[in-house]
Amino acid sequence: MLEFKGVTKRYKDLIAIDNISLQIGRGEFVFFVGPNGAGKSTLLELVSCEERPTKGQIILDGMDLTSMRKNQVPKARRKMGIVFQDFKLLPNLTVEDNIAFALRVVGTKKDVMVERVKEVLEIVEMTHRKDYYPEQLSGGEQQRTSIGRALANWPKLIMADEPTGNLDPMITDTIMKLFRKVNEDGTTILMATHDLNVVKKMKKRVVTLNKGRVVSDDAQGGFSLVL
Amino acid sequence: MHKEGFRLFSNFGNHFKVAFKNLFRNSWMTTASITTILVGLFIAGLVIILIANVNFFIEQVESELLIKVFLEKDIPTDQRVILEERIGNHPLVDTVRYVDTEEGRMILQEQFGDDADVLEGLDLDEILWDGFEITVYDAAQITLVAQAVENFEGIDEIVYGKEYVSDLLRVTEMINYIGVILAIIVSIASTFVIFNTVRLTVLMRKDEISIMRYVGATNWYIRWPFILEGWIIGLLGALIASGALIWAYNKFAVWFVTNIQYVRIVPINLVTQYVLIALCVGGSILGIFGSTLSLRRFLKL
Repeated sequence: MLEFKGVTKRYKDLIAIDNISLQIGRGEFVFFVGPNGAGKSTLLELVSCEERPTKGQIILDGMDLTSMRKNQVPKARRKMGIVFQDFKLLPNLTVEDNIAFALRVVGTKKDVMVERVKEVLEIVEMTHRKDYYPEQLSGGEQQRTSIGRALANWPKLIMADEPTGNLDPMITDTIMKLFRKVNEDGTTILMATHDLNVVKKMKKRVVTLNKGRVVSDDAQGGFSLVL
Repeated sequence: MHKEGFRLFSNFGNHFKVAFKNLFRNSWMTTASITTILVGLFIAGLVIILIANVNFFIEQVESELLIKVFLEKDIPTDQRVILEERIGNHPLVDTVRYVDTEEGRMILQEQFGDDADVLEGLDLDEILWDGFEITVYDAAQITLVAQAVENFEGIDEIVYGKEYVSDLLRVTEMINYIGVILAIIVSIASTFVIFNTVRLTVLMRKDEISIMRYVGATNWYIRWPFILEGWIIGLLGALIASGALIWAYNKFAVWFVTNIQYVRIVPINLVTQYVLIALCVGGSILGIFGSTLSLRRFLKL
């Protein structure tokens, strides 16, 4: 469903991604690990069309993200959900409204939206907190809400950049359980992380990056010792 | 098609809601920018009204502007007829009318009305000459016509409001210049204020905008509320300014009509109509222009 073909991203003198080719199948759960500056986040930014590669192609579901016209980008983004380390929730909206926000801005009909928000609240187990504002929530609850927002638009792909970076180990476990559940429901997940404990426990495919290159690609949770 | 249209419409309802929310959230900045635009447009409206009234006044005067040609005494009738024809053939001349001493006497008596008895005992033949009254198509060319006619044979003297005309034209020209300069200043100031207000909203909504982009909102979906915000500021400023101007002009008109009898001013309904349209269109253009500029500079999509 997602394919990188000889992708390079260069910022002036710095090569952030160096000729990477990868294939990611539907329903896969892939970790990107590596030291700071290895290119994990850049890779996700290339998929979200936040950045364009200097060379190479990225194909999502048959759609070439690299040659796409600028006004087509929103369409591509509706196929993916993005989860951030700092949650990026809107402070003036309740949990329910934060999730509905993702549906409202793409013009979803009201009745469909109400139904979907209810569904998503159940998936992320936040129904009991739906009327709370982000500042009234714990870190884990905020991240659940953020995952809920990413899920709202029925994405085929969820990308998470250090989603447990701000959470303590216990909460991290529950969040990873949630990701596993979402993945088991058929959503492809790409996750950039520093947290090797998480990676070990999950036993999913791990792509290790260093200096913009793929160092190892292990289907069973193994990663390179350069880390 | 119907469905798309409806969606666009319901989206617009949303955009307006967001725009108003932003305006209230920035209430100080909103008030400041509406006030600036209001003052700017008020001045612009004042200049429009002033120019309209000066033009109106000039039209009144122009329609009464005449060249009076006094003929030499005892000019033969055939020479007079030829002269009348020659003047009438001049391309800038509208009408030529012969006024003889007898008619001049009647006109004088008419002008004095009940006081006509003051004319008794005067030797009117000394005062009144046979002559022509010439009207021209364009008051600005009255001097040209006068100069041409002056050289014709059989003419004793020519009288017309030469200085008066050129003074009037100079005043109109100056008011027009001042109007244009003021309009430019007002436009720049208004654009700048709206530019800043919208910039503030863009910065305040930075996080929201970035999330909107990530979840797949189209660029226009993101832009519309900002454009509407600028437009609402411009339009509100224009409505208040024109309201104030129309109210003030009404008061002025009532005072004018009761106190000044010989000069007329532009009717209230015309002023109301034109000021309202001109300011609302102007305010809207400035509002949309200012916010668009701001978006180009600060909204990176």
